[in-house]
Amino acid sequence: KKHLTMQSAPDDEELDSLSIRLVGLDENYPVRLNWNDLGVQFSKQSIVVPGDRLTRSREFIPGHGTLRRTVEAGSGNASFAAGRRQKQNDDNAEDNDEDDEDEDEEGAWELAASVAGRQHVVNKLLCVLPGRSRYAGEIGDVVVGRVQEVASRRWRIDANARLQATLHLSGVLLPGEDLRRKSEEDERAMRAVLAEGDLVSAEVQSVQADGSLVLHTRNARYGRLGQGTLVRVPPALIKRSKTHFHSLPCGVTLVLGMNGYCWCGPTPGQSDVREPLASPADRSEVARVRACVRLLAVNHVPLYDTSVMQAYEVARESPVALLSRPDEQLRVARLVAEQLLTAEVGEAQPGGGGFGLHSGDLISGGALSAVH
Amino acid sequence: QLLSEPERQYIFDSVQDAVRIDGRQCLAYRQAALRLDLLCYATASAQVSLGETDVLVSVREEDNPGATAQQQGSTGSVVAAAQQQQPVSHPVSVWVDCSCLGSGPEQQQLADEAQAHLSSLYRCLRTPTPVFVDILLLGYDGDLLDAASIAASAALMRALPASLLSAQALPLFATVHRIGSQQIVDANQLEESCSMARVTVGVDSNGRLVACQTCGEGSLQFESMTEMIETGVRKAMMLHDSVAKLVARVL
Repeated sequence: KKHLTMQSAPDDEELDSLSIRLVGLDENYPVRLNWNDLGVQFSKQSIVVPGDRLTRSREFIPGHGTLRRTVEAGSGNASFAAGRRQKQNDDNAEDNDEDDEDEDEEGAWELAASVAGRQHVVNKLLCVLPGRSRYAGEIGDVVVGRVQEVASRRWRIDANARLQATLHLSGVLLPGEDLRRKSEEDERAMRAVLAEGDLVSAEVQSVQADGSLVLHTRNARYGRLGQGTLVRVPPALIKRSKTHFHSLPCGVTLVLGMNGYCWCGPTPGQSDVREPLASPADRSEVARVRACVRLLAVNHVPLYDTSVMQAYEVARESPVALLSRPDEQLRVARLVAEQLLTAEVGEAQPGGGGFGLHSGDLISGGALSAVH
Repeated sequence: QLLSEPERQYIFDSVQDAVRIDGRQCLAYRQAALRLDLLCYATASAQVSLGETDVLVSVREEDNPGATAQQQGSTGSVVAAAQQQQPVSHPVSVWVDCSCLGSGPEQQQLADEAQAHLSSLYRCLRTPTPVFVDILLLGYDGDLLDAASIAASAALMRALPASLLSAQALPLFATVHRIGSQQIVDANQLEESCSMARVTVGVDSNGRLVACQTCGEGSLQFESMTEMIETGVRKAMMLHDSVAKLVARVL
C-alpha cells in the first residue's frame, strides 16, 4: 500500500503556482485571441446583429436567421444616419436598380437579420449563421454523448442539443451475430452495454420532427469510451472533416464530436482484450492534448486534427500545468492561428457574392470571437 | 456529477500517478487572479478566479451598531452606555449565490452546501461590528472555499484603515482532498466528485490553526488526517504570503 508521499517537486515550483496575479480594474483579463490583430479583416457587411438590413433585392430567398419586413420611412435600419442617407438617395432618384424596384412596388420590403452571426449565401439562399447556438445535428455527424437514462429498449443520451438524443437497442452493435433478433435478455442486460453516466461515441442516424436526434453505433469504431476525459467546447468550433477519430502520434486518441464534446484518452494497445492501465507518461500526453483542445477553444480557434497537432507541437516543451494559464494559452493559440492563416491564404478562394465573405472555416472561428 | 466508471477510474489513477487531469502536481494551485475594489457600495470587495472558479465577494461592515441603542429613550441610555462598555462580538454572516450558474437543483445545492461550510468555518472569526460576506459565484470548477476566503481576506485587508478588524485575525482556508492514497490541493470539479474525503483548515497570518472542517463520504485514519491538516496549514501560510504581498503592492 502506498504511503502518503510528499511531492518530489521542489517547493519553489509550488510557490510559483501560488503567486496570485493582481488584475487592475480596467484591465482586460483573461486576454483572449483577437483575430483583428492577426490581420483578419471582416467586412462590415459580413457580421450582422439582429435588426441589420441584409438586402432589399428580391432575388434572395430568406433562410435561417433572417426575417422579412416591410420598409417604412426612416425605420428598419440599424444605423440611423445610413437610413437618412438612404432616404436622401431615394429622394434624389439616382439611376439605381434597387431604387427603381422600390419605386415600382407599393409595399417595399427587405431582409433583415434576426440573430447575431455571419451572413452565408448559397446560390439564392441567404441565411445568417449564429456564432453560438445549440448543436442541431445532421445525419452522419459523429457525436460524443453521455447516457442519462436507460429506458425500455433505448438509451437517452445527452448530446449537448436542445433535446435528449435517443439510442435504440437496435442501433447498437452487440457482440455476437450482426443480424440476430434482440431478445428479452438483451433488453434486461442493457446496462451491461451502456449504463447511466457512460460516454459513448455514435453517429446521427436521423433527426426527428421535433429536432431530437436518433443515434446509432453500428460500426466497430463507435461505442462506449473507456479511459480518458471529456472536454466541452462550443459546437461551432468543430470543423467538419472526413474522420473525427484521431489517433495522434503521441499515443493519444482524440474524438472531436460535432456536438462540442471532445474526448481524449490514451490509445489502447492492439492486442489487449482488457484495457491496460495507462502509464504516467501517457497520462501526461493526454493532459497535454486536453490542455491544447481547451486553449484553442477559449481562443476561438477552430478544432480539427491539424490545429490540435500544431498546438501540441508548440506546447510540447512547456510543462503541462503551464498550459492552463491564460497568457500561455494566448501565446500558443496565437502561434497556431498564425500558422493556420498562412496555410489558409495559400488555399483561399475568392469570397462569394457581394457580401464580402471569406471562405474557409478558419474565418468562422474568428467570426465567432468577433460576434462575442 | 454524472461520470462514467472509466472516467472516475482515470481520474483516480491519474492522481495516484501524480499527474492530474490538467497536468498539475498534487500540491499545486491553479493560476489565481485577484481584482480589488469592484463594488462601490461595499466596505470592500474582491474578485478571485482560480482556474474556472470565479467568485466575487463583497464584505460589508456595519459602521456603528451602538447608534441604534442610543436612539432609544432616556431609560435606554443607561443600558446603551453599559452595552458600549462591554466588548460586543459578532459572528460573520455568509451568503452564497449561484444564480449565475443556472437555476437548477444542482446549483442550489452547491450554494446551500457552500454557505453551510463557509458559515461554519468563519465561526472562528468574531468581529466587533457585524460583518456580512456575500459571495457571488460567477464560475465553478472546484475549490470554492479557498477562493472565497482569499477574496474575503484580500478585500478586508484592503479596507483595513477603515475596518475595525485586525489583519492578524483574518483566516485563509486551504482545502485538502484525499483520493486513494494521495492528497491533493485545489481540486477541480471532477476531482472533487472522486474524492473520498476533504479537510479544510483555517489559518490566521501567524500560522495558528483556527478552524478545521472535514467532509466527505469516506473515512480517514488519524495519521492521514494529521498529515492533511499539516499540508493544509503549510498551503494556507503560502496563501497568506501571496495575498499579503499583493495587498502591500496595491497600498
